Amino acid sequence: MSNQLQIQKILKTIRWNKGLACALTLLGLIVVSSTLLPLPHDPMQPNPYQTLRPPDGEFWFGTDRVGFDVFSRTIRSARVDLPVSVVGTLVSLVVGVTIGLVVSVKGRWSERIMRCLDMFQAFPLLVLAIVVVALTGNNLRNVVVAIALVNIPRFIRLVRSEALALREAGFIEAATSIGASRVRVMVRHLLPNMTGVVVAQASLAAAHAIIVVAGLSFLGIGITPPQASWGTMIRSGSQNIATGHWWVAVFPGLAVFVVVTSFNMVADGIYRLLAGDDQ
Amino acid sequence: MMGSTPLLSVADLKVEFVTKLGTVKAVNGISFGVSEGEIVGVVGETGCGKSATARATIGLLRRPGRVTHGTIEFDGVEVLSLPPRDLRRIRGSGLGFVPQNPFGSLNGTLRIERQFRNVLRAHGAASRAEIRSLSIKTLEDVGISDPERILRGYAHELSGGMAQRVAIALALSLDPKLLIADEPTTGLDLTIQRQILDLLHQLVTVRGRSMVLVSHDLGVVAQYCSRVLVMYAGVIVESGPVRDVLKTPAHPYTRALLAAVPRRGKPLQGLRGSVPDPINYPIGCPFYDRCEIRADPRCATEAPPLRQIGPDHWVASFYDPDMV
Amino acid sequence: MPLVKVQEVHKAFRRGSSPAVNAVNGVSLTVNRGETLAVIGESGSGKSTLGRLAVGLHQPDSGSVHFDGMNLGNIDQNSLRQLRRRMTVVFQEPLGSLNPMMTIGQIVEEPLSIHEPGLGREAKRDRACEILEQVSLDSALYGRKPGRLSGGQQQRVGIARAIISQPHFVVLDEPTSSLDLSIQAGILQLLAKLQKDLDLAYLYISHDLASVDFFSDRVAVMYLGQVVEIGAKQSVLDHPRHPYTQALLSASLSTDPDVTQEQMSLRGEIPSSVSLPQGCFFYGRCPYRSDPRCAEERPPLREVAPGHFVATFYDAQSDYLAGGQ
Repeated sequence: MSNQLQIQKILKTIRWNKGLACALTLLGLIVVSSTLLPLPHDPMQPNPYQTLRPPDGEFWFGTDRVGFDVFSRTIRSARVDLPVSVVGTLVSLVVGVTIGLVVSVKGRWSERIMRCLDMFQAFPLLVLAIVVVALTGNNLRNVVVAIALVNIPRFIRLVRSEALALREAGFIEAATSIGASRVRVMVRHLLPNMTGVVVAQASLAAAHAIIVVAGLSFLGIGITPPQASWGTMIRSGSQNIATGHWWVAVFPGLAVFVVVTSFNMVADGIYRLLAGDDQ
Repeated sequence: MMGSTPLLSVADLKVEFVTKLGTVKAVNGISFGVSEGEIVGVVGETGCGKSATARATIGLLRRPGRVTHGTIEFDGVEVLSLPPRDLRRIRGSGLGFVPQNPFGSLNGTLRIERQFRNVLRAHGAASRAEIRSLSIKTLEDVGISDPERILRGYAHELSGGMAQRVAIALALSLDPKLLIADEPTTGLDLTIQRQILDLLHQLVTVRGRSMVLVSHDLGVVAQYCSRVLVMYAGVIVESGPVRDVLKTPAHPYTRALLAAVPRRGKPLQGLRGSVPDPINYPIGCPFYDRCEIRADPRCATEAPPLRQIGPDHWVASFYDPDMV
Repeated sequence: MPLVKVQEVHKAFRRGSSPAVNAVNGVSLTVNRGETLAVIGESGSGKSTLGRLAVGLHQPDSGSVHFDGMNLGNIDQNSLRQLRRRMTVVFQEPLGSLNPMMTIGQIVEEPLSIHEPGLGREAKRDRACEILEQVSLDSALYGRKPGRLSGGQQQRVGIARAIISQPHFVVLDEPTSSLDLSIQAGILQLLAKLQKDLDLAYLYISHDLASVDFFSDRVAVMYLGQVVEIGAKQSVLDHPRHPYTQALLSASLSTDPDVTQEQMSLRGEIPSSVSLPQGCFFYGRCPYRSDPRCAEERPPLREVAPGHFVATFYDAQSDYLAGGQ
């Protein structure tokens, strides 16, 4: 396809899928601003004479009890919340997809594994995460592990059901008929036909992970102040709401909301792309 | 055309489907008539427009299809300009329809008995007893030996052949003057197919009714129809009595189609290429790209009009087989 | 020695707790090198399952399948996979049998990647383009995805994939059922030509009598998972001895309006494969029922003409001589 046609095709996709484009841009912005762009104030440097100031020209989101600039700290928190959630999600993706593919072959073993999964998934994710961190130690790495563990079942389920459906398709039988090994069928035939749904599901998992991470740090687990994270900010800001200093908790809360919504919109956009592709 | 006024008269019908990729011109200006007591076959391959024609005639075109041009006159009434209520009345008692997939037209959640009741009541039948006896009789007419059991049951309990018989019974219960059957046996087993077609043929001729039988199967058309229309790329390329068209075909497409029927010991000839893009028809004869003959310099630039080559035998081609 | 030998195979399918569907109920047949054995039957006849059993895509519940002397049920997975170089399948649904995420080139080359892993990229590409030409496809299609091709083209790709590994035996599972008549002719012609050029044996599964008449050497007729008649094409199609074969042939519609065929009427419909009848499977629909054993015993295959076997107690020959059918 000529370059011009390719560009036209991309523009058409963007126009049709505004939500996806919007969400990806937003997420991109957050990542860039938290890592590369300079912040108006040092997020780790409190200003003891500027405590609890409402949002104004100098401190866009106001300051908190200790004098931290809420804006800079909110943005900086992305450096913790995002990577923890994303890495945890990616780990669970890799492990979950692999297990899911292996388990998609009909047999007694696959049934047993699915029953174990059912048990595992009966617990709310946040509770499971708390248990994992409580058992392994209160540090950042274990939060990532908890996120990973807790999200593995959803990938196993997804991949297994997709694989079972795909196995009914003619081309899987055709691959077997020319001598493809089981591994080859999984890697060259099943996996490529699932990438869409897997990526969409990963986006949803990331959204959920953000909430779990924020929840954990709100409870004081995993990430502790003075490390900037949305959960800890909300926790400390929650005490200020009663006294009318709403900005300390609301802005980090908004940040969580925006990121979670963006991930959801990415997933939504991918699904719409997939549905559209079936023209 | 025959001396009597035709029961159905279609003039310059055009049907389009508006899709994301463009406007599909499914039917490109066709005209034909069906007289009383006639069985007319419409034959063609995928995408020729035969199904759209059948559905447009009975007003059952599915969105996004719509009739953009032409008239359809049934029993003296212009069907396309009728208000929906009058159309519904003609449909059923005047025009009957047997679809390709009976499970699509039978309601899966209602008992068969109820569906008969809905149909008959909408057309004026009175008492429950009357409806019931009529349903039983129609089911018997289509060869169902225990109609009461069928009436009590649901569509999904039936096999393909049985379901099609029920669909035919429903269509015939109102004794329509013209039955339109859109590939009524495609997908059914050979032995069942034959039974269904024999049944349809018998029911229609015994009552002196007419039928338009749409099919992709030349054998079906050869054995059950008195006249045939061959469609390609939304137009009629050849029409006439079945004997004339199938034994002395004039259009290169009809000839190619007949040559493509496998026969023992006879070399098989397929058609090269594929049907033209229904969104962008080329100028000239729609069959030009695949034609092995291309007898005339006009073939590439002019779409050949229908011309008469025999009593009631018409062909849309510049090729004259007698001139070779 | 025949290339493919199927012996008394049975196959039933169980879906969860539903009763088992008895797809194949005791079938024995052989396919010789270079010949085409056609298998005809209607729905429920088990012909598709038989095709898959013949190449080991299903394992029979009982009985055996031998390919070139090797028992497909007795060898390990690796050996079976290697054998797949020599026995391949062309499937009914062209689009469904092609991976939508792969290009035509990748699809056609895959057998090479599996069986000749030493081949370099260039060599594979050359072989693929060669095969594409052999099936009359423009090699420019190499980089396209299946969804952009027409039905006829997709099926040619399926055929290309099936022959690139230079097999001896190809199962053709209704290869033209979903294609238009004019396209079908081209595919059948291609298959006939390839058979001659590559000395292929075909198991041609179909429900279309006309194409079977054109394309086969021997014909087997299946009903409810059994072979009811088998023999040379002319023998079976011109002088059918089983009532079901007679009924099937009488149901066909000629494209010549002057040739009419009275259909032999059959009672009822095809019985379910779940509970098989005790005696002859065809008893419930048979218009003859000429022998007291019909309801109690399953008629075995017996030779009624050289190479022509029939599983029925009905004696068409004597009926014919006595002035019957």
